[in-house]
Amino acid sequence: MKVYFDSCTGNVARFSAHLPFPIEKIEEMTKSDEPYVLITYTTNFGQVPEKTEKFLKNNGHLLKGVVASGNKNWGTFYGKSGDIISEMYQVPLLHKFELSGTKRDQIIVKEKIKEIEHA
Amino acid sequence: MTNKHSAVNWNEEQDPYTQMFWKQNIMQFWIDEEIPVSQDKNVWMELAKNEQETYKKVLAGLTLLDTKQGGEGMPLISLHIENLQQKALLTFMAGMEQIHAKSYSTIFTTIASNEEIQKLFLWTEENEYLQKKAEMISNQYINLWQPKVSKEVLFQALVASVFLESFLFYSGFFYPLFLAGQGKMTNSGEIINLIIRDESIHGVYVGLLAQSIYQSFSTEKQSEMFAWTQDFLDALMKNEKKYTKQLYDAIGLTDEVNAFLIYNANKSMMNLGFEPIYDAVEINPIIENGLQTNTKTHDFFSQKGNGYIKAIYVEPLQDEDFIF
Repeated sequence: MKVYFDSCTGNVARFSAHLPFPIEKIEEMTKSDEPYVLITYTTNFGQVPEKTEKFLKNNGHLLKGVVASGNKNWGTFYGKSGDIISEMYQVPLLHKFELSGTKRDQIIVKEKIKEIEHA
Repeated sequence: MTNKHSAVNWNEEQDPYTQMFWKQNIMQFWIDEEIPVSQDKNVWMELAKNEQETYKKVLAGLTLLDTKQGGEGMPLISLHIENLQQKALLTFMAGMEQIHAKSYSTIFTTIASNEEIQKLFLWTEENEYLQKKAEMISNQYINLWQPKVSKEVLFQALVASVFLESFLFYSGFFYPLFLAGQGKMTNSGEIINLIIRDESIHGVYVGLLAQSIYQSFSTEKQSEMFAWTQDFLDALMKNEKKYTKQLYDAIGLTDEVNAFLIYNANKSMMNLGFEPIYDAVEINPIIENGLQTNTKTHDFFSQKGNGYIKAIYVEPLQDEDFIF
Protein backbone atom coordinates (compact mmCIF):
# COMPACT_ATOMS: atom_id res chain seq x y z
CA MET A 1 0.00 0.00 0.00
CA LYS A 2 1.15 3.52 -0.76
CA VAL A 3 2.18 5.60 2.26
CA TYR A 4 2.05 9.39 2.22
CA PHE A 5 3.78 11.24 5.05
CA ASP A 6 4.09 14.77 6.33
CA SER A 7 7.22 15.75 8.23
CA CYS A 8 8.54 19.01 9.64
CA THR A 9 11.41 18.08 11.93
CA GLY A 10 12.38 14.89 10.09
CA ASN A 11 10.95 12.47 12.70
CA VAL A 12 8.11 11.12 10.55
CA ALA A 13 10.40 11.03 7.50
CA ARG A 14 12.89 8.86 9.40
CA PHE A 15 10.12 6.59 10.67
CA SER A 16 8.53 6.19 7.23
CA ALA A 17 11.85 5.34 5.60
CA HIS A 18 11.91 2.09 7.65
CA LEU A 19 8.63 0.82 6.18
CA PRO A 20 8.57 -1.77 3.37
CA PHE A 21 6.05 0.26 1.32
CA PRO A 22 6.37 2.93 -1.36
CA ILE A 23 6.50 6.25 0.51
CA GLU A 24 6.03 9.82 -0.65
CA LYS A 25 6.35 13.11 1.19
CA ILE A 26 3.37 15.43 0.97
CA GLU A 27 4.06 18.64 -0.88
CA GLU A 28 1.85 21.65 -1.47
CA MET A 29 -0.03 20.19 -4.48
CA THR A 30 0.40 16.43 -3.96
CA LYS A 31 -2.41 14.46 -5.62
CA SER A 32 -3.01 10.75 -5.02
CA ASP A 33 -4.67 8.41 -7.54
CA GLU A 34 -4.67 5.28 -5.37
CA PRO A 35 -5.72 4.26 -1.83
CA TYR A 36 -3.09 5.11 0.80
CA VAL A 37 -2.18 5.30 4.47
CA LEU A 38 -1.16 8.65 5.93
CA ILE A 39 1.54 9.20 8.55
CA THR A 40 1.65 12.66 10.02
CA TYR A 41 2.76 14.58 13.11
CA THR A 42 1.01 16.72 15.71
CA THR A 43 1.62 20.43 15.97
CA ASN A 44 0.60 23.52 17.92
CA PHE A 45 -1.61 22.27 20.80
CA GLY A 46 -2.68 18.86 19.51
CA GLN A 47 -3.48 19.97 15.97
CA VAL A 48 -3.24 18.61 12.46
CA PRO A 49 -0.41 20.21 10.41
CA GLU A 50 -1.63 22.66 7.75
CA LYS A 51 -0.03 20.82 4.86
CA THR A 52 -1.69 17.57 5.96
CA GLU A 53 -5.07 19.30 6.19
CA LYS A 54 -4.73 20.66 2.68
CA PHE A 55 -3.62 17.30 1.33
CA LEU A 56 -6.61 15.58 2.94
CA LYS A 57 -9.03 18.13 1.52
CA ASN A 58 -7.91 17.10 -1.95
CA ASN A 59 -7.24 13.42 -1.33
CA GLY A 60 -9.27 12.44 1.74
CA HIS A 61 -11.58 10.13 -0.20
CA LEU A 62 -8.73 7.66 -0.82
CA LEU A 63 -7.47 7.60 2.79
CA LYS A 64 -7.56 4.10 4.33
CA GLY A 65 -5.91 4.66 7.70
CA VAL A 66 -3.84 7.15 9.68
CA VAL A 67 -0.74 6.94 11.88
CA ALA A 68 0.32 9.88 14.08
CA SER A 69 3.58 10.91 15.66
CA GLY A 70 3.67 12.96 18.85
CA ASN A 71 5.27 13.29 22.25
CA LYS A 72 3.73 11.96 25.48
CA ASN A 73 5.13 15.03 27.20
CA TRP A 74 2.07 16.76 25.75
CA GLY A 75 -0.33 14.67 27.84
CA THR A 76 -3.80 14.54 26.31
CA PHE A 77 -2.53 16.28 23.17
CA TYR A 78 -0.26 13.31 22.41
CA GLY A 79 -0.58 12.36 18.73
CA LYS A 80 -3.99 14.01 18.68
CA SER A 81 -3.83 14.81 14.98
CA GLY A 82 -4.36 11.06 14.47
CA ASP A 83 -7.60 11.08 16.50
CA ILE A 84 -8.87 14.15 14.66
CA ILE A 85 -8.17 12.76 11.18
CA SER A 86 -9.55 9.33 12.10
CA GLU A 87 -12.84 10.90 13.16
CA MET A 88 -13.09 13.42 10.33
CA TYR A 89 -12.47 10.90 7.56
CA GLN A 90 -13.93 7.84 9.30
CA VAL A 91 -10.78 5.74 8.92
CA PRO A 92 -9.03 3.64 11.58
CA LEU A 93 -6.27 5.22 13.66
CA LEU A 94 -3.65 2.52 13.13
CA HIS A 95 -1.05 3.62 15.67
CA LYS A 96 0.58 6.48 17.54
CA PHE A 97 4.30 6.71 18.17
CA GLU A 98 6.66 9.13 19.86
CA LEU A 99 9.05 11.28 17.79
CA SER A 100 10.70 9.00 15.21
CA GLY A 101 9.40 5.83 16.85
CA THR A 102 11.03 2.61 18.05
CA LYS A 103 11.60 -0.70 16.25
CA ARG A 104 8.43 -1.98 17.89
CA ASP A 105 6.45 0.92 16.45
CA GLN A 106 7.79 0.08 12.99
CA ILE A 107 6.64 -3.54 13.33
CA ILE A 108 3.17 -2.56 14.53
CA VAL A 109 2.62 -0.07 11.72
CA LYS A 110 3.93 -2.52 9.13
CA GLU A 111 1.48 -5.20 10.30
CA LYS A 112 -1.49 -2.85 10.50
CA ILE A 113 -0.90 -1.60 6.97
CA LYS A 114 -0.65 -5.19 5.74
CA GLU A 115 -3.98 -5.96 7.42
CA ILE A 116 -5.57 -3.11 5.46
CA GLU A 117 -4.04 -4.40 2.24
CA HIS A 118 -5.62 -7.80 2.81
CA ALA A 119 -8.97 -6.53 4.00
CA MET B 1 33.99 50.43 9.94
CA THR B 2 35.43 46.97 9.35
CA ASN B 3 32.36 44.83 10.02
CA LYS B 4 28.89 45.14 8.64
CA HIS B 5 26.32 45.06 11.42
CA SER B 6 23.09 43.31 10.44
CA ALA B 7 19.58 43.65 11.84
CA VAL B 8 17.19 40.71 12.21
CA ASN B 9 14.52 40.65 9.50
CA TRP B 10 11.40 38.67 10.41
CA ASN B 11 9.68 39.45 7.13
CA GLU B 12 11.45 36.66 5.31
CA GLU B 13 11.67 32.94 6.00
CA GLN B 14 15.34 32.24 6.70
CA ASP B 15 14.88 28.51 7.29
CA PRO B 16 11.86 26.17 7.13
CA TYR B 17 11.16 25.94 10.86
CA THR B 18 12.35 28.85 13.02
CA GLN B 19 9.28 31.07 12.54
CA MET B 20 7.02 28.11 13.35
CA PHE B 21 9.02 27.40 16.54
CA TRP B 22 8.94 31.07 17.47
CA LYS B 23 5.13 31.07 17.29
CA GLN B 24 4.93 27.87 19.30
CA ASN B 25 7.24 29.30 21.97
CA ILE B 26 5.17 32.48 22.24
CA MET B 27 1.90 30.54 22.46
CA GLN B 28 3.12 28.42 25.32
CA PHE B 29 4.68 31.32 27.24
CA TRP B 30 3.82 31.32 30.94
CA ILE B 31 5.06 32.67 34.25
CA ASP B 32 5.30 30.93 37.59
CA GLU B 33 2.96 33.28 39.49
CA GLU B 34 0.05 32.19 37.29
CA ILE B 35 -0.15 28.79 38.98
CA PRO B 36 -1.70 28.61 42.46
CA VAL B 37 0.95 26.35 44.05
CA SER B 38 -0.01 27.36 47.58
CA GLN B 39 -3.04 25.09 47.20
CA ASP B 40 -0.64 22.14 47.47
CA LYS B 41 0.14 23.01 51.09
CA ASN B 42 -2.32 20.54 52.67
CA VAL B 43 -1.17 17.62 50.55
CA TRP B 44 2.42 18.51 51.31
CA MET B 45 1.82 18.20 55.06
CA GLU B 46 0.58 14.65 54.52
CA LEU B 47 3.72 13.45 52.72
CA ALA B 48 6.23 11.41 54.73
CA LYS B 49 9.49 13.10 55.74
CA ASN B 50 11.61 11.13 53.26
CA GLU B 51 9.12 11.85 50.47
CA GLN B 52 9.34 15.57 51.24
CA GLU B 53 13.11 15.32 51.30
CA THR B 54 13.31 13.73 47.84
CA TYR B 55 10.79 16.20 46.43
CA LYS B 56 12.72 19.22 47.65
CA LYS B 57 16.05 17.86 46.46
CA VAL B 58 14.88 17.01 42.95
CA LEU B 59 13.55 20.55 42.60
CA ALA B 60 16.80 22.05 43.87
CA GLY B 61 18.72 19.91 41.37
CA LEU B 62 16.43 21.04 38.56
CA THR B 63 17.01 24.65 39.59
CA LEU B 64 20.74 24.21 39.05
CA LEU B 65 20.23 22.70 35.58
CA ASP B 66 17.86 25.46 34.47
CA THR B 67 20.27 28.07 35.83
CA LYS B 68 23.05 26.56 33.69
CA GLN B 69 20.86 26.38 30.60
CA GLY B 70 19.54 29.94 30.93
CA GLY B 71 22.81 31.57 31.92
CA GLU B 72 25.37 29.56 29.94
CA GLY B 73 23.92 27.07 27.48
CA MET B 74 21.48 29.10 25.44
CA PRO B 75 23.40 32.42 25.47
CA LEU B 76 26.74 30.83 24.53
CA ILE B 77 25.17 28.74 21.78
CA SER B 78 23.33 31.76 20.38
CA LEU B 79 26.64 33.66 20.27
CA HIS B 80 27.83 31.26 17.56
CA ILE B 81 24.62 30.84 15.58
CA GLU B 82 24.82 33.24 12.64
CA ASN B 83 21.20 33.15 11.49
CA LEU B 84 19.64 36.11 13.29
CA GLN B 85 16.16 34.61 13.69
CA GLN B 86 17.66 31.45 15.16
CA LYS B 87 19.77 33.58 17.48
CA ALA B 88 16.66 35.47 18.60
CA LEU B 89 14.76 32.28 19.34
CA LEU B 90 17.64 30.83 21.37
CA THR B 91 17.78 33.93 23.55
CA PHE B 92 14.00 33.77 24.05
CA MET B 93 14.46 30.18 25.19
CA ALA B 94 17.21 31.35 27.55
CA GLY B 95 14.65 33.67 29.15
CA MET B 96 12.20 30.78 29.57
CA GLU B 97 14.93 28.74 31.27
CA GLN B 98 15.23 31.50 33.85
CA ILE B 99 11.46 31.40 34.38
CA HIS B 100 11.76 27.65 34.96
CA ALA B 101 14.59 28.17 37.45
CA LYS B 102 12.54 30.79 39.27
CA SER B 103 9.40 28.65 39.33
CA TYR B 104 11.06 26.07 41.60
CA SER B 105 11.66 28.87 44.08
CA THR B 106 7.95 29.69 43.83
CA ILE B 107 7.17 26.09 44.79
CA PHE B 108 9.73 26.25 47.63
CA THR B 109 7.88 29.25 49.06
CA THR B 110 4.93 26.95 49.72
CA ILE B 111 6.76 23.86 50.91
CA ALA B 112 9.89 24.98 52.75
CA SER B 113 11.04 27.49 55.36
CA ASN B 114 13.72 30.06 54.54
CA GLU B 115 16.24 28.06 56.50
CA GLU B 116 15.37 24.86 54.63
CA ILE B 117 15.60 26.67 51.31
CA GLN B 118 19.09 27.93 52.13
CA LYS B 119 20.14 24.40 53.07
CA LEU B 120 18.80 23.07 49.77
CA PHE B 121 20.86 25.49 47.74
CA LEU B 122 23.93 24.54 49.77
CA TRP B 123 23.11 20.89 49.05
CA THR B 124 23.19 21.55 45.29
CA GLU B 125 26.71 22.91 45.65
CA GLU B 126 27.89 19.96 47.70
CA ASN B 127 26.21 17.03 45.96
CA GLU B 128 28.88 15.10 44.09
CA TYR B 129 26.72 13.70 41.28
CA LEU B 130 24.70 16.84 40.67
CA GLN B 131 27.93 18.84 40.50
CA LYS B 132 29.45 16.31 38.11
CA LYS B 133 26.38 16.47 35.87
CA ALA B 134 26.52 20.29 35.78
CA GLU B 135 30.28 20.17 35.16
CA MET B 136 30.06 17.73 32.24
CA ILE B 137 27.47 19.88 30.47
CA SER B 138 29.08 23.17 31.40
CA ASN B 139 32.43 22.03 29.97
CA GLN B 140 30.84 21.81 26.53
CA TYR B 141 29.29 25.25 26.92
CA ILE B 142 32.44 26.92 28.19
CA ASN B 143 34.28 25.74 25.05
CA LEU B 144 32.10 28.30 23.26
CA TRP B 145 33.48 31.17 25.33
CA GLN B 146 35.64 32.56 22.54
CA PRO B 147 35.05 34.70 19.44
CA LYS B 148 35.28 31.85 16.93
CA VAL B 149 34.75 28.13 17.35
CA SER B 150 34.93 25.09 15.06
CA LYS B 151 31.78 23.36 13.82
CA GLU B 152 32.70 20.33 15.95
CA VAL B 153 32.80 22.34 19.16
CA LEU B 154 29.47 23.97 18.34
CA PHE B 155 27.94 20.58 17.50
CA GLN B 156 29.15 19.14 20.81
CA ALA B 157 27.62 22.03 22.74
CA LEU B 158 24.31 21.54 20.89
CA VAL B 159 24.39 17.83 21.79
CA ALA B 160 25.06 18.73 25.43
CA SER B 161 22.07 21.10 25.33
CA VAL B 162 19.75 18.42 23.93
CA PHE B 163 20.96 15.87 26.49
CA LEU B 164 20.39 18.36 29.29
CA GLU B 165 16.89 19.33 28.22
CA SER B 166 15.61 16.02 26.83
CA PHE B 167 17.31 13.60 29.21
CA LEU B 168 19.05 14.95 32.33
CA PHE B 169 16.05 16.86 33.64
CA TYR B 170 13.98 13.71 33.88
CA SER B 171 15.48 12.19 37.04
CA GLY B 172 14.13 15.36 38.63
CA PHE B 173 10.80 15.51 36.78
CA PHE B 174 10.03 11.91 37.75
CA TYR B 175 8.91 12.49 41.33
CA PRO B 176 6.60 15.50 40.79
CA LEU B 177 5.02 13.60 37.86
CA PHE B 178 4.74 10.42 39.92
CA LEU B 179 2.86 12.31 42.67
CA ALA B 180 0.71 14.33 40.25
CA GLY B 181 -0.17 11.06 38.52
CA GLN B 182 -1.73 9.99 41.81
CA GLY B 183 -3.50 13.30 42.33
CA LYS B 184 -0.92 14.71 44.76
CA MET B 185 0.87 18.09 44.55
CA THR B 186 -1.04 18.74 41.35
CA ASN B 187 -0.50 22.50 41.15
CA SER B 188 3.24 22.12 41.45
CA GLY B 189 2.80 19.27 38.98
CA GLU B 190 1.21 21.72 36.59
CA ILE B 191 4.33 23.91 36.73
CA ILE B 192 6.42 20.82 35.98
CA ASN B 193 4.14 20.03 33.02
CA LEU B 194 4.59 23.55 31.65
CA ILE B 195 8.35 23.24 32.01
CA ILE B 196 8.29 19.85 30.27
CA ARG B 197 6.40 21.30 27.29
CA ASP B 198 9.03 24.00 26.97
CA GLU B 199 11.93 21.57 27.31
CA SER B 200 10.28 19.37 24.68
CA ILE B 201 10.23 22.07 22.00
CA HIS B 202 13.67 23.33 23.02
CA GLY B 203 15.05 19.82 22.61
CA VAL B 204 13.52 19.44 19.16
CA TYR B 205 14.69 22.88 18.01
CA VAL B 206 18.27 22.65 19.27
CA GLY B 207 18.30 19.09 17.92
CA LEU B 208 17.46 20.43 14.46
CA LEU B 209 20.34 22.94 14.66
CA ALA B 210 22.64 20.07 15.65
CA GLN B 211 21.38 17.93 12.76
CA SER B 212 22.04 20.63 10.19
CA ILE B 213 25.67 20.92 11.36
CA TYR B 214 26.03 17.13 11.46
CA GLN B 215 24.85 16.86 7.86
CA SER B 216 27.58 19.29 6.80
CA PHE B 217 30.31 16.98 8.19
CA SER B 218 32.24 14.49 6.05
CA THR B 219 31.28 10.82 6.56
CA GLU B 220 34.44 10.35 8.57
CA LYS B 221 33.73 13.31 10.81
CA GLN B 222 30.15 12.12 11.21
CA SER B 223 31.21 8.75 12.60
CA GLU B 224 33.70 10.44 14.90
CA MET B 225 31.02 12.81 16.22
CA PHE B 226 28.46 10.02 16.52
CA ALA B 227 30.89 7.95 18.60
CA TRP B 228 31.57 10.96 20.78
CA THR B 229 27.81 11.51 21.23
CA GLN B 230 27.27 7.90 22.32
CA ASP B 231 30.18 7.97 24.75
CA PHE B 232 29.00 11.26 26.19
CA LEU B 233 25.49 9.89 26.69
CA ASP B 234 26.86 6.76 28.36
CA ALA B 235 29.01 8.82 30.71
CA LEU B 236 26.05 11.03 31.63
CA MET B 237 23.87 7.95 32.16
CA LYS B 238 26.42 6.39 34.50
CA ASN B 239 26.44 9.49 36.67
CA GLU B 240 22.68 9.88 36.40
CA LYS B 241 22.10 6.40 37.83
CA LYS B 242 24.22 7.24 40.86
CA TYR B 243 22.34 10.49 41.37
CA THR B 244 19.04 8.63 41.05
CA LYS B 245 20.04 5.97 43.55
CA GLN B 246 21.03 8.59 46.07
CA LEU B 247 17.72 10.44 45.75
CA TYR B 248 15.24 7.66 45.22
CA ASP B 249 16.49 4.66 47.27
CA ALA B 250 14.90 6.13 50.38
CA ILE B 251 11.43 6.06 48.81
CA GLY B 252 11.92 2.81 46.88
CA LEU B 253 11.58 4.22 43.36
CA THR B 254 15.11 3.85 41.95
CA ASP B 255 14.23 1.13 39.40
CA GLU B 256 11.26 3.08 38.07
CA VAL B 257 13.37 6.22 37.68
CA ASN B 258 16.14 4.28 35.93
CA ALA B 259 13.62 3.03 33.36
CA PHE B 260 12.43 6.60 32.85
CA LEU B 261 16.04 7.68 32.29
CA ILE B 262 16.49 5.12 29.51
CA TYR B 263 13.19 6.13 27.94
CA ASN B 264 14.17 9.80 27.84
CA ALA B 265 17.79 9.18 26.79
CA ASN B 266 16.37 7.38 23.76
CA LYS B 267 14.11 10.33 23.00
CA SER B 268 17.04 12.73 23.27
CA MET B 269 18.87 10.66 20.63
CA MET B 270 15.81 10.94 18.37
CA ASN B 271 15.86 14.72 18.81
CA LEU B 272 19.41 14.63 17.45
CA GLY B 273 18.20 12.66 14.43
CA PHE B 274 19.77 9.39 15.61
CA GLU B 275 18.25 6.00 16.37
CA PRO B 276 17.60 5.30 20.07
CA ILE B 277 20.65 3.52 21.50
CA TYR B 278 19.13 1.72 24.48
CA ASP B 279 16.51 -1.05 24.34
CA ALA B 280 13.06 0.52 24.23
CA VAL B 281 11.35 0.99 27.60
CA GLU B 282 7.65 1.71 28.06
CA ILE B 283 6.66 4.78 30.03
CA ASN B 284 5.35 4.16 33.56
CA PRO B 285 1.52 4.53 33.49
CA ILE B 286 1.50 6.67 36.65
CA ILE B 287 3.98 9.05 34.98
CA GLU B 288 1.86 9.09 31.85
CA ASN B 289 -1.07 10.00 34.03
CA GLY B 290 1.03 12.73 35.66
CA LEU B 291 1.64 14.22 32.21
CA GLN B 292 -2.10 14.40 31.61
CA THR B 293 -3.11 16.57 34.53
CA ASN B 294 -4.96 19.28 32.67
CA THR B 295 -5.43 22.51 34.44
CA LYS B 296 -7.86 22.93 37.27
CA THR B 297 -7.50 26.68 36.91
CA HIS B 298 -9.78 28.30 34.38
CA ASP B 299 -10.09 31.75 35.88
CA PHE B 300 -8.63 33.71 33.01
CA PHE B 301 -8.40 37.02 34.85
CA SER B 302 -6.46 36.02 37.93
CA GLN B 303 -4.53 32.82 37.62
CA LYS B 304 -4.17 30.44 34.77
CA GLY B 305 -2.95 26.90 34.42
CA ASN B 306 -1.48 24.73 31.70
CA GLY B 307 -4.78 24.86 29.78
CA TYR B 308 -4.06 28.47 29.02
CA ILE B 309 -2.83 29.31 25.55
CA LYS B 310 -1.55 32.77 24.76
CA ALA B 311 -3.71 34.34 22.08
CA ILE B 312 -1.52 35.49 19.24
CA TYR B 313 -4.00 35.62 16.40
CA VAL B 314 -6.03 38.53 17.73
CA GLU B 315 -8.35 40.16 15.20
CA PRO B 316 -10.24 43.41 15.87
CA LEU B 317 -14.03 43.03 16.12
CA GLN B 318 -15.98 44.21 13.06
CA ASP B 319 -19.64 45.19 12.67
CA GLU B 320 -20.00 42.10 10.45
CA ASP B 321 -19.14 39.87 13.38
CA PHE B 322 -22.53 40.69 14.87
CA ILE B 323 -24.56 39.57 11.88
CA PHE B 324 -25.71 36.09 12.85
